[in-house]
Amino acid sequence: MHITLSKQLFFITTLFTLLALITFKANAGDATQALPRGIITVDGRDAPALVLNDINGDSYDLSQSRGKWVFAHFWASWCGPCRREMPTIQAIAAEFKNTGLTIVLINTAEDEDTVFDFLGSVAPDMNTLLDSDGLATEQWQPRGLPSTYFVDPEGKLRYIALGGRPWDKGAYLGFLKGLIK
Amino acid sequence: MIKYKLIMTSIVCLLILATSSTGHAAKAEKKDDAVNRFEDKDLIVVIGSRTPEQLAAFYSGRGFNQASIDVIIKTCFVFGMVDNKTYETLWLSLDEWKFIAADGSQMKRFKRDHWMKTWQQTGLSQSHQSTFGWTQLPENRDLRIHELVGGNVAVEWQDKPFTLVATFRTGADKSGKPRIITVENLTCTSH
Repeated sequence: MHITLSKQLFFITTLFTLLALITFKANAGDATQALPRGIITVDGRDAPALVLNDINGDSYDLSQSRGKWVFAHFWASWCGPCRREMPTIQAIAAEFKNTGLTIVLINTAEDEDTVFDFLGSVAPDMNTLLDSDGLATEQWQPRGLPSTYFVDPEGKLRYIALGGRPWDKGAYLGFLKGLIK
Repeated sequence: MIKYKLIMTSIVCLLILATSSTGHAAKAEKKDDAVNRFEDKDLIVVIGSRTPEQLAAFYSGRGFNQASIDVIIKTCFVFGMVDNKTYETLWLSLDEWKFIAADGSQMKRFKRDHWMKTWQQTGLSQSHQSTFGWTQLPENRDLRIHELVGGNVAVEWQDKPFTLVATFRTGADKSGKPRIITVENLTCTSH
């Protein structure tokens, strides 16, 4: 009789524990999700056109990056999170040079002098496209600045990073590497 | 012996349960009067007002023309930051932010169409209009989990302190319990 009661206690407690652990795992959010915090999937619609000149005056057309993933990053010098994030983008730019991931920066509505001053002090190795009138940015409709879109090799929008992210760290770096595996 | 093992196993299971649930402990909502910061386990809201000096410095530093600066510094700008920590969706809708004047009347809020007309009159360039737009809070935003938004809201000038009652719907279909944040004694600094 005693053993039977103990077995019942063991069975009930174990079952309860397993159920609780399953529930805990399901609610753990970012700990169990495949995507790092702040990166969300989008519906795979076509990426808007993007044809702009960079700070050297060279033209870039998004369509020329077909066959590669594109990290399309919208930023402005006055935005605090952009300032914190830019060095991490410079770090990954070196790491992903000549790989299947193209990193494209798009400055929103600032003049060349402002952009030169900012990049010179924060990320001197980086180039950026200049959306001087801000209209290209409006077409992409980012949820704020900074915003980063991930365009797949077929030119479809696949992910958006919400706000600034530490791209050279842990899960974010792993996410980028996973794109080009 | 068997009984002892079973009891010990049960105790271990209960201990696992106890440690698993500690990460979900709720933190009490708090308000810091100096910065109007509200935080609990689900969201952070920061509200304050910009001084005309701050506004003039920011926008003139980015090359805005004087006519536009003159309009900006005669307007009252409230800044807001909202961080969705846990909700599947936290809805920012500025039409659900009510600014209440000292006499109890609802204050006028200046929306984007107002600014477009204003910039036509002041001759503000397209690039500066874009910059101004990006410094304002969006009219509507479905804030996803871990998403943060910040920016200004423009309201009519007040000489006396005023109150903001900001309502945020929650849940993907807005059916969750709404969050209401009240900030009293906001001021427009004298121009």
